[in-house]
Amino acid sequence: MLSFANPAALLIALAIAPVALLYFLRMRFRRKAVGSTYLWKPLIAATSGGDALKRRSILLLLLQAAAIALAAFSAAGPALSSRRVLRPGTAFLIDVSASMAARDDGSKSRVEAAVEAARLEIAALGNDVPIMAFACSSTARPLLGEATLDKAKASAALRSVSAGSEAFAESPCADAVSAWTARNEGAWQARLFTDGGLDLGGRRIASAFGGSLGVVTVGSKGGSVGVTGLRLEREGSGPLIGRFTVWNGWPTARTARLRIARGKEELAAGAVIAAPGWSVASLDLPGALEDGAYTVSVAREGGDLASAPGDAYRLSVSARRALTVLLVGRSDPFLKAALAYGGIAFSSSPEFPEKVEADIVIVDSAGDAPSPVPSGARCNLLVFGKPPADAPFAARSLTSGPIVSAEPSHPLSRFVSWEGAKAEAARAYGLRAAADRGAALVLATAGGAPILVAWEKGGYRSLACGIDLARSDLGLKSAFPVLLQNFFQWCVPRVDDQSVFTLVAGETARRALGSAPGSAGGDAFKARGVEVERTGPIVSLTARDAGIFEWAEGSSKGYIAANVPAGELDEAPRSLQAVESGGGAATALASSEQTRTAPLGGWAALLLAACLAGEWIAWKGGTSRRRIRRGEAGA
Amino acid sequence: MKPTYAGDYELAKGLSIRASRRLSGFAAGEQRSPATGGGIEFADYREYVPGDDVRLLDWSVYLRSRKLLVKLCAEEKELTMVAILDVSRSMDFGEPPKLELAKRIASVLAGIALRGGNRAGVTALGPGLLEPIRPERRKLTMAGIGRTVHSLESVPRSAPEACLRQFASRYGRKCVAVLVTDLLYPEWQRSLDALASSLCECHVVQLLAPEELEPSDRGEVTLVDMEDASEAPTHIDDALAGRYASALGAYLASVRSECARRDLGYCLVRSDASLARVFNEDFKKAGIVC
Repeated sequence: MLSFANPAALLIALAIAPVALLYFLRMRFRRKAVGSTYLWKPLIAATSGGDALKRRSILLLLLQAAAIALAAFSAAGPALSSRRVLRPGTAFLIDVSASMAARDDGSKSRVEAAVEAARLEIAALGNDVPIMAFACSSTARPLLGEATLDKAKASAALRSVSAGSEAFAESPCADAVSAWTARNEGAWQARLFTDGGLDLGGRRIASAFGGSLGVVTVGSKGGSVGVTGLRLEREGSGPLIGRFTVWNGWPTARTARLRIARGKEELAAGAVIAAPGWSVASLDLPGALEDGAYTVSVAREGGDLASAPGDAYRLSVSARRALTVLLVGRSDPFLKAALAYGGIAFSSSPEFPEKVEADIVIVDSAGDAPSPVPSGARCNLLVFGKPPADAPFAARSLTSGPIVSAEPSHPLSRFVSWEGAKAEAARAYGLRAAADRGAALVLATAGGAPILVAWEKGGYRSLACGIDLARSDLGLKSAFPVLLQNFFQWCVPRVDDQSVFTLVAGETARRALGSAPGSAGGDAFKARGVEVERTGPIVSLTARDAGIFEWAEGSSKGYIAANVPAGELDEAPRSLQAVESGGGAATALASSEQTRTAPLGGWAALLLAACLAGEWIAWKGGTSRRRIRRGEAGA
Repeated sequence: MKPTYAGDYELAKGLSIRASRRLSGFAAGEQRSPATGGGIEFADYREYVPGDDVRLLDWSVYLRSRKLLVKLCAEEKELTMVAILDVSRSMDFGEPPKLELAKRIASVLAGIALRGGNRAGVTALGPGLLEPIRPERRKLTMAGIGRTVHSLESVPRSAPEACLRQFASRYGRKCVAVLVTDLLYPEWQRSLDALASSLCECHVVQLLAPEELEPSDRGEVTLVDMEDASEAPTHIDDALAGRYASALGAYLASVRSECARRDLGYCLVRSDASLARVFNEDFKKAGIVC
């Protein structure tokens, strides 16, 4: 239906009348008798005359009238509105977390049961109900390219669904379906098929569908025994102990038969009595701790849930390596003292090396000397004094005063207390405009001027501290070593942990490369079966499935162990009825009426411009001019 | 009431038709013909060839120079002048109409011929050749010629070429023909061919109205052709008028050259010109009268 925001503007169209009047007054052809048109006709045919002239005149009139009409139409603010009835759609969310692999009755997994139930509900829907399907675990993955009315197509899309190794992360799932519903018109309700292991209890997903969520709980109340959390420890000179956590899903204690192996070599086996719920158990292992992939597995017994996750837990043991720190410039005793801890290997150098092989470089320069850090240095950097020349800020004058935290929530400020700390003649930093400063962030100020600034560049992280350690009591404050440790953790996560390559399926873990940044080149880090993303010296590892995967970086090799989340071991289904809306039926939502309004002003203005252009072209009579020139040439 | 133009005949008193070509007339008259031999007025000599009339030998020249020369005398013959009027509708154009002047020209030409003791005729190019005044040996008065000529009206469909072919077949080699026309039709060259085929001494008097020579109308005009009533709507501006002038100039030059190529005399006359000027200036200059 056509509507106008300013109908009075349509009166502009009345201007057509005087234009037409002027046209007829101006374009009246006088009849003139001549003896012969013998000489005239070739000229008229070769120039602008004759019927072409009349046609052009009429065309000009029509274009003028159209231009006026379009101008009036455009000024009136036209809009085309239409109403249509939207049937509420139904989104089927299938939980494909690890626990959905459990087979309650020994023949059909929970995800298969969920798919079967969903297909039955799809078959019962009306033919005009849009259908969408998602597989949900660490995120909601659409099973259909777009919503469909084809029930067979939707039903077929569910056949490809199988349980994975990930946990049900409700928040990202809810975000994904919210983004999808925002892109798709109409009202949507959801049907969630799950065994109940949702980390947020289903509330986020329910809110994504405006509370219109129906939950179908699959699975029986059967239990199972699982194992997780293996770690290898040696106490003093005692034997190597494999310590792990056992899950007993039964209401009574069960005897679990357990086995620890490294690769295919069995190291230990035994039976433990597992109390209901979580309990810790251990097995003694022969020999010394060696690098490799260890697996602790539990044997299923009769009555246990088949295919349930948690029958094995994998541990990747890598050699611990120390965090390497290079100290450039002055060797401040406070710095040395702060670095003299296990797990940190530091060395000193008076000059900044051409090739950085340390995880972190600390530059302690004094006075007004320029920073020894060359431009474009690729390393994690802690600078005392003037910042590098390519830093997104510059050194300013000296400042003094109590140190005040500017970003208490930053990881570098974690547990750092500046109480009582005071800066004397500290180097202040001048940050450029927000648009140019990049990722530079002021963490602390003294006398109102920034003295502690962190920034990131090319995947490397840096911190500039304007306090001169030699002229400050900062080294005596508790904030100093805490700040250093925070910086080390911020730059290089977990290098001294033997299980750094033991991951949780579906979760992304940031790990520092085994070798120093810039020496081996993290691009060479490969791990089959694991998603690897390199950012500077850091790799982000994401394993979608549980298992053991090999990684290699140059000549170094090792294993990545991925396990199902511990929370998935509890297979006992839990109803989420608390989040269900009223009836929870698939067609509970009423049809909605949608009014769509399409403004036409832009189109009218476009046509108006086209009319004016056409009138100009017709008035100029480009083709006639060419004819005239030809006629003149002929004459 | 039609005008009689009685004053026009005063023009005939001092003028005579000029013939510069041998014509095969019917009887001797006062007109001095280029045909030599039979007349009494000396014209020229030429060498004697066997078969010549020995009576024409000039013995006095022979006695002086011992050369046999034949004395040539201009043959005085009766001349036939035929005025051919274009009476197509286009001749009605102009103020005064071109046909009006054409009829006066034809009347005066006939009068001049009669006053010289010659024959005069007036024909018109209608659907067929019209012959209101045949060049017969009979007593014609100038007033009678005037009445007859002025009774001619324009005809809706004329066939100039066919009429001129008729004229050529009837009057070939026998007369001085003066075609008074505007030649404003596409087949004008074929008409000239037909006229030239008569082998008469022919003159083409092209009569154009001032409005045809210099059109003054401007603006949106539907030009209506008086010949066939066809219409040509156009916008006449100075540029188009300029192009018309160029086309007209080229056309007139073409007519002049085509006439010359066919050995036809040519004279362009404005329809608003006075008859005295036409005869005393234009026709004398064109060699139609002397």
